[in-house]
Amino acid sequence: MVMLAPAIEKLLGLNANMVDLFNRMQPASDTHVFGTDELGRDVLLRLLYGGQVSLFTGLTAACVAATIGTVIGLTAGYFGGRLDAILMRITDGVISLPLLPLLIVLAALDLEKIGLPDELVNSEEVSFYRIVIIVALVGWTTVARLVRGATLSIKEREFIMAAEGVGAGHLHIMFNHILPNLISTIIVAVTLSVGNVILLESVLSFLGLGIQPPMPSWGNMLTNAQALIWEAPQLAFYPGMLIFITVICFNFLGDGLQDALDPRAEY
Amino acid sequence: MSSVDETILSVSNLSIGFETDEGLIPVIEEVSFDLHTGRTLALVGESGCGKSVTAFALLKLLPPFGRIISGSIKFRGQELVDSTESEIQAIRGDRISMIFQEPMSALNPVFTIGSQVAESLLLHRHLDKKMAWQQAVEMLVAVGIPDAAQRAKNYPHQLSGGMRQRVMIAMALSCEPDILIADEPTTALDVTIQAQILDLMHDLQERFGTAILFISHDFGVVSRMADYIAVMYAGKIIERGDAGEILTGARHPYTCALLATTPRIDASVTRLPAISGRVPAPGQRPAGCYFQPRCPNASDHCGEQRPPPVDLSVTHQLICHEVVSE
Ligand SMILES: Nc1ncnc2c1ncn2[C@@H]1O[C@H](COP(=O)(O)OP(=O)(O)O)[C@@H](O)[C@H]1O
Ligand SMILES: [Mg+2]
Repeated sequence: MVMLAPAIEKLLGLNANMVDLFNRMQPASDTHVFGTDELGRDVLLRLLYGGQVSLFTGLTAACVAATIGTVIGLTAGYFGGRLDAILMRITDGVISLPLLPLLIVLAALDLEKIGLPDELVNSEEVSFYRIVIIVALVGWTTVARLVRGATLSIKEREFIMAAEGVGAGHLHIMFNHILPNLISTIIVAVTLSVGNVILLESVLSFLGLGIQPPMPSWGNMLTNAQALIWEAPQLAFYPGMLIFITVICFNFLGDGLQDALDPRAEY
Repeated sequence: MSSVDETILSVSNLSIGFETDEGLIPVIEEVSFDLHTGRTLALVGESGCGKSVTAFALLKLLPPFGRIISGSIKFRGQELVDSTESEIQAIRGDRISMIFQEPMSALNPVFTIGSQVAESLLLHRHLDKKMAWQQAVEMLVAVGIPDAAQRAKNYPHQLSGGMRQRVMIAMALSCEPDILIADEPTTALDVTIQAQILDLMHDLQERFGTAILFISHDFGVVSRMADYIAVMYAGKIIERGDAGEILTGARHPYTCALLATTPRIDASVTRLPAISGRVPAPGQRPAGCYFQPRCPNASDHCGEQRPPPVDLSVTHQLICHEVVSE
């Protein structure tokens, strides 16, 4: 649905960023199916584009976080001993960081001052990269713990011994024998955290630190709607509802994928 | 290809310990045996005697707390005890390979059986994927998997226990190793399948000239496979000899007791005697003969002194106080 945003835009003959100050906060009508917002922009289109941004942010951030978490968890679980202890203390450290203040500090960092090139800092997507990096930095811990736990139990299974018995090296065993057994665990973790990232993005946006307007996201649409909650409650209702539904859907998706990916569940 | 009966692996005075909070506890003590091409040595003993630890030690696959205390493992003249990780990896699966007791848990559930058989070909022969797959299918044909080309695309859970053990054998033999270590390969299977698997191993041994170290607790199975037999008790080999010498002329009370517990086709007794007591755990082994607490023939000095080696023939040896050579 959100993929079709440009097509629907054409169809309706409207522009997502087109300001129409004479038609502010319209209720639903034939031209504006979901009405218009405080600047007279079409709500349906903004929801669709916002969905693209929110989902893409969520997926990218969750995948980056999962990749970091998988490598760390796999290494810790497979090698064990001191390396495991060190990696897990780092994980504990990251988990015990007070999340919200940290996010706010990271989100409020003045990128120009830390020496990033100008064209990047001033580009429209910078808030997107910022979210992805922030989430990846703090979000890998869940996957790392999950993967470590699963690795610990899988490496005791006999087929790992068998793999050693055919002459496979450590890296080969980690990535070719253990990792494929973890895929369903990881995918479930990723799908669940996509929901979380979308929520997190809306929290940051709510604080004005998330995806920056004019790029729409469900989070910043919710923020804008907040000021107008009495005059146009539907503006808060639509993105809020979509976030809610999306998060639930990703949870169901996680479950479904787990079943679909498990070769033993074919019966 | 080496000629039949050539000594290909020689284990001498191998001792293995486990590192624990109470220090290093001996698990395997002074074990020696040879493997010969095209021949099967059976390592027999009750569960907990140290058969698996001995077998895994040949490939240096001990648990993290396991140590080789002393002794030597010579494979074609190469000392394996002090080989490096990469040297031993090159041997595993290529020159020496293993099959396990439980074929279900020894196969990776998320890969097709074809790709698992192909794996050691990819690792050691550096074949491209297509070639390796093709050879894997040929190997599956060799171990008697019907419709192998299709079956190769199946996952382990789609096969019966006997078929899985055939797959394990195909995996182990795909690089035509010199030595096959089979750790209770038929224990998890029912009797008819057991016989089929033993026949298969026999046939493949003749075809490839593989030396087999066959581990079992069951003399019934061993009598079908073994050329030589070594009986293990509490980490020591207590009697050894050619298969015939042990099966019909065993002298060690433990071997005799084990043989007596094996069901026989011509048996007139319906109830089988069981050996009372249990194998002492490592670290709780008695001072004298390890079998003395359970031994019907034990006399006083059995509990005090280690039993001496006794030679009954060039090939038949045992350690016992109560047996004297004629
Ligand atoms: N991974 C392990 N952890 C702890 N003890 C072990 C382990 N492997 C073997 N042992 C101990 O070593 C002894 C020999 O075991 P094993 O070689 O497995 O016996 P077998 O194969 O003859 O049944 C047993 O007392 C067993 O409890
Ligand atoms: Mg065993």
